[in-house]
Amino acid sequence: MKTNHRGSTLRVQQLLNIMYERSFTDRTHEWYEKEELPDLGKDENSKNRSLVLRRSSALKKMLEIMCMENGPNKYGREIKDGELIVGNIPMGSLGFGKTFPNYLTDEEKQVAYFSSRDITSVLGHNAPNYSRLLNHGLKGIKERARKGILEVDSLDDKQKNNVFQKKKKIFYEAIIESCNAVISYAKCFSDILKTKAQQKNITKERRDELNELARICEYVPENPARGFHEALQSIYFMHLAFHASNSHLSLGRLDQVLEPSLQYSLKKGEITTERAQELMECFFIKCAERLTSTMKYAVKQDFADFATGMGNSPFLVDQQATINQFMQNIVIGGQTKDGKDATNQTTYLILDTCQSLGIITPVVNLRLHKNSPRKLIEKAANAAINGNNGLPIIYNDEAIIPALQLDKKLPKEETFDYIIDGCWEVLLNGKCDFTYNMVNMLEVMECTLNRGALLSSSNMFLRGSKKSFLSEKPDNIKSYSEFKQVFEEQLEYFVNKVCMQLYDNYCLEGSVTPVPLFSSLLGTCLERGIDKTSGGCEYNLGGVVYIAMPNTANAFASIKKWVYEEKKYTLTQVAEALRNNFGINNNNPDDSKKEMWTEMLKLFRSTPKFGNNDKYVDKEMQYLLDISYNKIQKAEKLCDDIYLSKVQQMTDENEKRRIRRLRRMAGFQNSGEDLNYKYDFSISFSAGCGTFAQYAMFGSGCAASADGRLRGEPVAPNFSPDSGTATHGIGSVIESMKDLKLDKYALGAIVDICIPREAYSQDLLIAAYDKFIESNGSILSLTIPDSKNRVKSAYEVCQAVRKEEATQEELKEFADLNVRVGGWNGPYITLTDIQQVDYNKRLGINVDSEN
Amino acid sequence: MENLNKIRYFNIDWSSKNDGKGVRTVIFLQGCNLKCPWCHSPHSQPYTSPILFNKQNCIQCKKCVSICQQNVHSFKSDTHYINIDACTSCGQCIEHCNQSQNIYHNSLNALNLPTTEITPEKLFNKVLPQLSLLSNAGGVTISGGEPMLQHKALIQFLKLCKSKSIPTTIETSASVPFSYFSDIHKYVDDWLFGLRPVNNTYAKNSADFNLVTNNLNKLSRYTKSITIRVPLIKGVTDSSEQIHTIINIMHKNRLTYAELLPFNPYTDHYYKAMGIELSLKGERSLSNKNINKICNQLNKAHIKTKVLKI
Repeated sequence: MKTNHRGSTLRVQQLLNIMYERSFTDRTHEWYEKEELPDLGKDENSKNRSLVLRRSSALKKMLEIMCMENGPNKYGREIKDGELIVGNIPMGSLGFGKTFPNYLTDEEKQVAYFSSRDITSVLGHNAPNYSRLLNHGLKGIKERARKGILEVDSLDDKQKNNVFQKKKKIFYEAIIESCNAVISYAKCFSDILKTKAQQKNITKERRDELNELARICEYVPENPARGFHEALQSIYFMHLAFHASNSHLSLGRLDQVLEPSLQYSLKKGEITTERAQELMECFFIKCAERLTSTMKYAVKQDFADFATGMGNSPFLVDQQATINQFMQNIVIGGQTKDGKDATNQTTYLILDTCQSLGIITPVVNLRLHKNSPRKLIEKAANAAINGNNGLPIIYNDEAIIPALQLDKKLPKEETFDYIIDGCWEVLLNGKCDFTYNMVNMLEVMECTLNRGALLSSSNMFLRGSKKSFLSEKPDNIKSYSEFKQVFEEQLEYFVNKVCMQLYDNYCLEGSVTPVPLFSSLLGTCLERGIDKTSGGCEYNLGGVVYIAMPNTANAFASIKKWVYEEKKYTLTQVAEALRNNFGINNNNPDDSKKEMWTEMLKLFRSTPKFGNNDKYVDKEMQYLLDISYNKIQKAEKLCDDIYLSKVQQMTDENEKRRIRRLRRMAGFQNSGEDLNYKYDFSISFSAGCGTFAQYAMFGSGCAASADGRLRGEPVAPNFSPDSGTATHGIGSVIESMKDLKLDKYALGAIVDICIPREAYSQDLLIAAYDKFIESNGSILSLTIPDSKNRVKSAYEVCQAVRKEEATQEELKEFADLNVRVGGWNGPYITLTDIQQVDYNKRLGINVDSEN
Repeated sequence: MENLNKIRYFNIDWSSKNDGKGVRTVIFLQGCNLKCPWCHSPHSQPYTSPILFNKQNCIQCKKCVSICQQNVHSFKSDTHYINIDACTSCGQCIEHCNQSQNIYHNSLNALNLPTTEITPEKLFNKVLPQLSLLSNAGGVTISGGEPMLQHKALIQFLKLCKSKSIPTTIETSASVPFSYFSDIHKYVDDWLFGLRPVNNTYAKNSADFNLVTNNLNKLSRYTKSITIRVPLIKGVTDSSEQIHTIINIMHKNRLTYAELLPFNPYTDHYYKAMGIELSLKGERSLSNKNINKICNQLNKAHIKTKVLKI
């Protein structure tokens, strides 16, 4: 395999090889199947226990099974030769789903299903405060929890029976049980290591390592970590416990978290910088071991159900595109809370590790700002070139921090400390809860053109499946400004709906999937004694993500030009052409208009496209970004009224009645009374643009669009120019960002750019990063997969494998070919045909045959 | 009539590592005074490119036949014939051809007229975002065709580049009067200078070697940032005597770096699109062994070499 030379030492190279070899095999037997896990919901005793305690017991059971002797599979207790970080995360990913002991009774399940929730449902993605873990150890967390229990116990009987106090006590008990479960798991590994160290057939060097590891696992995560090795192992155990229990959590700002431990160990002479890198590489590989490089056995490992996933289910992601999405983000660089450059030795260590291994997960995200050291930017460019994994992803502090600061609910110093989770969503570091919802702008466009209905060519739903309200007839939309007006009305409907849904879902979450272990490392939850799913955090971010912005801006340009400037078509004619897919593969027997449609498609495609620094369309993008941001502001105000007003304290009777009416209409607090949280709870809505990995999926349900996209074709990936339409060099793509005012988009707007290997240089990348920061861009991924020819060969082999004309073995040649998939970077060979073709388009493969 | 205030180009390569130092944006200017038999862009030779026809993209709808006033298009037993000589480049057929509407990738179109005429300012604004990435990473390269034929408009463009500190390179065959160089060289950082003593059989359509040598002698008084470029065409430019001639000229001008361009065996693409025959017949690529031999000959004479990838 071409990955052989990677890793800074022989040990790491061998571990990498095992990982890649395994990724091509059938890994079904590595899963913990449902029947191998206990069912706490069936347990008679469970029924009467509170849900949060059942949740912590389920975590305990899971971790016990994972390190049980003669457990369901032999991988749980595995320690590979040479490993310096131990423990094993069970199989699972966003696309595959996860398995976990059930803790709901049958009755509870049926009711939870009603709101599309189950034990595997996750709401927000997030990242824990690992500094707290390293500084206090789980011992410290447990002490805090015990103190909380004592506080409740010391109350008088009346207060003790207060529902908050009761819940608080249970929450703290659940934290203690969860922490103990993780400590036991670590100690179990300590025992395994001790036994292994006594084996005869190992070198003295390895024996010493195993004994040292046994000592470390005995000590952390229970105790505060002292040295670098302890810190990494401690974080890994927690990360493992989260990922074994449906909490797809990120790793946060590891350079800030780990720097004190690194300096401690270096100063004490415990390790060298080379050893530090080796340890970091071992840590990365432990996070990446769930990698799957072949689709051959994927269907067998589809453990997702309708309630997997987040927010308003049913679960709908491009599962194949996300089989290797583990949502493990590391953030490095950026600024400290007081706005100073935060780069440190660990920043470089992580960047070097990322480059040395060339693996796709954990995703390394680099925050840059106008005072970032040159050396850091140079190293980043170097890593992007030599890592071959499309990393690091670049975040522009100059756009993101001002955007976060626009929200007055968020304290300034916390905005300097932002992190990334999930795919690329920006949130506060270890401080806030997070959830998001999405608006497909092409749907809004269809509703604008078709009076609140989708543009379907079937007559079943008469003019089309209804998505929103009956707006103006296209015939009556006489001017471009009227057209925009109707679009804005439709948009408002969609945005209000998703924002209200966020509150609605939020209020449900804690009732099914409380997360005591995670809450203990998140913001104010531990202090308040409230689970994060019940409003334990001081800050709550709610992202609104706009899908297909580039397509929509391009469509606006076409409509502006051909309907309202040139007056070549009426809006009704355009709607009809889109409904009929411009006459292509069309079931409609009326082909008399085909000629007009064909010409229309031609003209639409030749209208300026976003990403080429063409002001005609960039102006439309500016407009779209402006109105989309403003609609969120408006929705936030509405939501604040409905969900957060303090009716009991109001003196104005009319206002009181207004709020109560709105509440009842929203189906919230049937009594119309205030939300019964102990602390003030509010969602800060933040705007973002992107698709994550789902650009093919989001496009598949949409009719043709006026940018010249055909029915069902993918939409533009994230906030990137639509695939294949950026023809003026990456400089022009970046230049297009300049006037967009992306510094209002606090969730981020990510542009994915791919450069074929034959056209890059380190200086070019450095210049691109610099220009991106200057141009007020938000998030940038710059991927250099390989030469066009190699990607083309990989595509041909994949096609042959799909047709069963080639074997899996032939794919191994391309195991190292990593490409950007919207929300993460993944192996090209595991993507769907449609994703691969879209990717080829971006590189100009099959399109630009003369080069 | 030639518009001296406009630049004619037929292609832009936004990111190339083969045309000068670092990563370059290459602008290929239209028009050439030579007809080198190994030329891989014959459509660059005329003042404006003739209509190019990519047979594989034609669906034989025959709309072009009815629209063309000059009767350029005709069909005989399912073959699409194009009478290039009658074509006035009016573009009507392209406008009406549904198979020719890809504005992103000309090569996907059945018919296409690649030449664009544009003011130096507009061209500069178009490429500036990309060039702004290249001021340290590379720069702009003007190639062709023969870019020196448009030296007057080109100067305007190069001045704009220099005002933004963007490194500039011109690739030329230099078979033009030296007066063309006398103003422009101040705005050019590096030259890619074609030097090809071809044997008599092919001399007629190729560069005037004496003129080229004289130009090189004069130019090298102003600058030593000159890379000599030698196409390696079997039986045309590859004899040791020819290499020897190059060595002598380079020594005389104290130039020390040459790039060797292997024959591109896929040149027939544009010939086919123009409906003409490639005049070079037979195997024209040199073996690696022979390429190495030429490199050795140059290296022994203290000339550094680089063989470009095809």
